[in-house]
Amino acid sequence: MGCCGDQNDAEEELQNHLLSSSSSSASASSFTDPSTVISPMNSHFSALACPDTLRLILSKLSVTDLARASCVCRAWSSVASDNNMIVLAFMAPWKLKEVVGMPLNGSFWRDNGIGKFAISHRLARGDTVASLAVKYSVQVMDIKRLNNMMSDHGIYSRERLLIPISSPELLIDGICYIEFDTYAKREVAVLYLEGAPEKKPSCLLNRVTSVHGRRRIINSLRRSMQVDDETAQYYLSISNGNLRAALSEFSADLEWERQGALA
Amino acid sequence: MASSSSSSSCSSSSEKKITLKSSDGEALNVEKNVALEFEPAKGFLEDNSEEADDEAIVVPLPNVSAAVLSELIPYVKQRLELSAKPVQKKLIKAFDDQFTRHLSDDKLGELMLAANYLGVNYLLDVLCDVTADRIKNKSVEYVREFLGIQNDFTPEEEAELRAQCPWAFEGVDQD
Repeated sequence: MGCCGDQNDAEEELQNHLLSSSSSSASASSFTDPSTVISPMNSHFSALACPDTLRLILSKLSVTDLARASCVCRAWSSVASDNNMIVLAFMAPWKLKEVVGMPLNGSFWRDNGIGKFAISHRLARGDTVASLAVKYSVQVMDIKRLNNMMSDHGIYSRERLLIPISSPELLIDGICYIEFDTYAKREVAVLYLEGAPEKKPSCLLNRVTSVHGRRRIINSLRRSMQVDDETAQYYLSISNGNLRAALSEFSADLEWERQGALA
Repeated sequence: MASSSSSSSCSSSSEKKITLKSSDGEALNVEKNVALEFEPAKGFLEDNSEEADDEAIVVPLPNVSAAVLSELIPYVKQRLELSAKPVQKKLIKAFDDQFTRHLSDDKLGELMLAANYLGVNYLLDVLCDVTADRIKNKSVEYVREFLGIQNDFTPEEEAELRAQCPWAFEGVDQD
């Protein structure tokens, strides 16, 4: 009761505030417009030259807006093309906590529709597509389509099925792993409802399901770090197959080495 | 947020006035708790704390015009009063919305610059929100013109960048 009253008082208070603020700012702006011409030379948006401010603005944009922002100028490009920014924009509408892993193809980020996400269901004895459809409240057809299944019999040869996300709420605060699913034949942001896949040692291979995909990751890591296969493999393994984490581990080590050399 | 509001409410009881001097030489009188919200003023006041009479202190703010300051001061003052009370976040949001809604694009830029320089982060955050909102779904050319940004790409570089994300140019608003 008392709480409600307080709130009403506050709203009234705010109204009073707002009345005085709009009148004072209106009077202020009436005598302050000699400089209304925006040109590159006198732009007041030089605040945007500061990467921190720019980062703040661009972090509020959607994936497509961010992609266009990277075409505006060099300064914008360097902020907007930052991987972190892209990942954050990808996650934002779904309130995801984290996206682990790097897609093999950069255009993965372009579309963050709900179809980009799926639940990983580890198949157990007695599972059928119909029972899974009931369990996860989705359509049988949608499961089949997502996993490229021609018939119901195909499921016993598989270790897991991808289940479409039935409600966006499932993604809130979730952690998704970017995986190339060999059956779906595309990269999917996979949600594990029974905890993270790291717990099982075999899932490091699971992460990049095909040997070919893993090879590509090692190759790209080797190229960007300019090291040999073993070193690339080592960094990838200590960071659980996460390419970004592997790179930052590597650069941290380089930094450490450099400081050791200076000392 | 909580700590800053509590410290400001203590100092507000003293009701002391500070003089701020804008870039165009105008002197503005503000309450000390408002002045303390501005980082450069706060630093200046700390450096000159042995001065017995606050009224005698004139804080120079060489990067902000009087016009911008006279918009900022009532905002900060009311924002302080609001956040000193146990009000809900959505009230503060409503207040911020009201403040930013009438801002011209030009004024938005000036305020952003000032908020950045003065270290008023809650305002900077709100202004960035508004800016992001105003460039949402707009073409690259519109964004450049809106923000007065010079295109420093060569035509080839820009074409290459655009080719990387052709999907981002579908369904953009008309300028």
